[in-house]
Amino acid sequence: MTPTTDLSVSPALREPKKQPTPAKRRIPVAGLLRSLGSRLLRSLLLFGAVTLTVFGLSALIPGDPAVSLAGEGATPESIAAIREQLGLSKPWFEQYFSWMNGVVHGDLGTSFFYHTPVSGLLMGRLPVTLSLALFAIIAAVLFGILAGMLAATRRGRLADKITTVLSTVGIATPNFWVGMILLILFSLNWRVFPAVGYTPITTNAVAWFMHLVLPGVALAAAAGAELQRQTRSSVSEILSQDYIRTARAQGLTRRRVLWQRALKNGAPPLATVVGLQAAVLLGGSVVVEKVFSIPGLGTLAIDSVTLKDLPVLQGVVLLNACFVIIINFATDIIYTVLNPKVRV
Amino acid sequence: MTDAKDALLSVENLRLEIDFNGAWTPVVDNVSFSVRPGETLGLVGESGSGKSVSAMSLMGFLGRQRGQRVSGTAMFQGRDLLRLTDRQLESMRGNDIAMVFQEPMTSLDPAFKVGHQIAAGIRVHQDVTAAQAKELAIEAMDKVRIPNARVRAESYPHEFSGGMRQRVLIAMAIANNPSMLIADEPTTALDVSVQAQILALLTEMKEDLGLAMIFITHNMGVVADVCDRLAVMYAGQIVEEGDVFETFAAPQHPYTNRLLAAMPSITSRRGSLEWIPGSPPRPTDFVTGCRFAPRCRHRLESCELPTTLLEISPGRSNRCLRGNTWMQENES
Repeated sequence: MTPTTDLSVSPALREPKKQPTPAKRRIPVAGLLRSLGSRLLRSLLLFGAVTLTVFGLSALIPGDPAVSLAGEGATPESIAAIREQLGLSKPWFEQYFSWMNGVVHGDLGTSFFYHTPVSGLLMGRLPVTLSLALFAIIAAVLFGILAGMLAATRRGRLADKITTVLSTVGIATPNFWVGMILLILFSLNWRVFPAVGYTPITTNAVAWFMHLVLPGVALAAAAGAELQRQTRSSVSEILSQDYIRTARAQGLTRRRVLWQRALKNGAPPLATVVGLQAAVLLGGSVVVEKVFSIPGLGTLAIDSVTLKDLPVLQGVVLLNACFVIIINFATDIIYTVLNPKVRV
Repeated sequence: MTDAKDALLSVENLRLEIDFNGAWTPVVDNVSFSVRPGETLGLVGESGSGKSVSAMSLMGFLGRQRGQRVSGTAMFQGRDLLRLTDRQLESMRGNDIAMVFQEPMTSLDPAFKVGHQIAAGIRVHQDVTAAQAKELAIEAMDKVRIPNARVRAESYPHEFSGGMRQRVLIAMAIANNPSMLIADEPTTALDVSVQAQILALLTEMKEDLGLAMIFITHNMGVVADVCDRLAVMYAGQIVEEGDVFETFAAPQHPYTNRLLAAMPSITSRRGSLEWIPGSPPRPTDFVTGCRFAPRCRHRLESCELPTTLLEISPGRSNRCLRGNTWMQENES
């Protein structure tokens, strides 16, 4: 044991340089970078697999896009010409590589229907869907964590029972149904929020927000409910831990222990759930956008299916897949940052 | 029982009841003891005897929730701990009364650096900046002889060994210069060699800071090492209280006698360890008569009468209905 006299001011300042601890501290950084690298590689491989699948969609879709493009009464010659023009007659791998070359350079082809670049169509719709998704995620996190905390601190009491019932309903109900009920109640009956449509934030921020409330809540319901359950179970488990008693024995207030200690300890699993739910939510937005007639990516996707507009469909699916890959990657990183044991 | 006047903490008739499916059951009952400034009281007994429960009631960790109720008085520096508001209690915890727990491995928050955790307790009670609190935390770590405290303050609990974690917890406990420390089996979870170090450290802190200490343990050897007086608990009651040396020399209650006999000793020539047949009753089975009687070899029919802790000489009390008359009987 080192006598305390060794730690007088100047040696103490010099000491860290000779100690093994600073060296030990470099290792976590290297480890962090290494795990980051392997995750990045995995994400890239996943992206490759996704592009193959998306490209393969064309083979799975019933009907010939060239036939539907040529319209009624087209001659076999005109159909062949369209096919040639779209490059549909080349071998599949050639088509894939020329398509991939475009994808990497931001060129997703031209819409069969609108005759404009797909990337431009996507960019036009992206802010709409991102607004909706962000609104929903924020709403879900706010509700999930607040209601989860409430339930965890009042286990078995009324507040716990009410929020638990709400969450069970939230998880069990499909989001389009929630959307329709909200629509009937809040816009048709009580006329609080607009029923359908979308206003860009740049045009009118208030209208933008009002238009997002109902679809946002409908989209957030399941995610919020899942988060509430996760928060409730992990926070109430943490509150029974010895280290919470230690903090209370130091004189820390119940509120401080709850919002600092319990929340930080519960954060890693919560971040995982938020990440998963964010990915699920992107998929759910397709239906919700349709219910509220919101001109986002989801509506574009559905329209492109009915119009057999393959490049657009591929573009939407690819973009969504990219979002999911990015969300998963970000979740991994956040988990690592939040959890000191994983970091080392 | 010592004089309540000069006592730092004076507990009278502490009783904690828990609602077991609608039946209020006393878990701890009629517990009275006092601790003078600078004195160490050992609270001894088997698991489930109510020693930790008594301490937890004093700290307000038990008896304040639904399904629990506490009664009696616990005068500490002129205030009754059992009647403080939550806020008053919070301002005392860690400031006037600190606590060290049994499980160093799980008693530190895994998500925060240890320096931060010590500093958090300092900032609750002292008007200091974050940087000053950090310095005080490092000072406290130095005081409990954590080598290289300045660097170690930036480490997370999982980077410490069990013994070092217990040092961190002790640093946490002494950081605000409390006048009393409750140590709840602080060495039970540690290796024997580390146990001795932690005991030495606690004794040193107690002497340096003039701390009064309640030392909860089931280990009679540890009591002899660190305590001035001891209170032996059985089935939620104190059965004997007195000076450590006097009690070890001549235990007044048959249970204390059996406990001491069960201590392994190197000088003893007996081939096997002593043990007490049977097991302690559960709170739902507590009787008004002597609760140790079913396991006592000196039991008489009169042992079913209600018991009280009687002062038999200054500073010594005994709950045995037979006083010390059982001592004449042959140990068989």
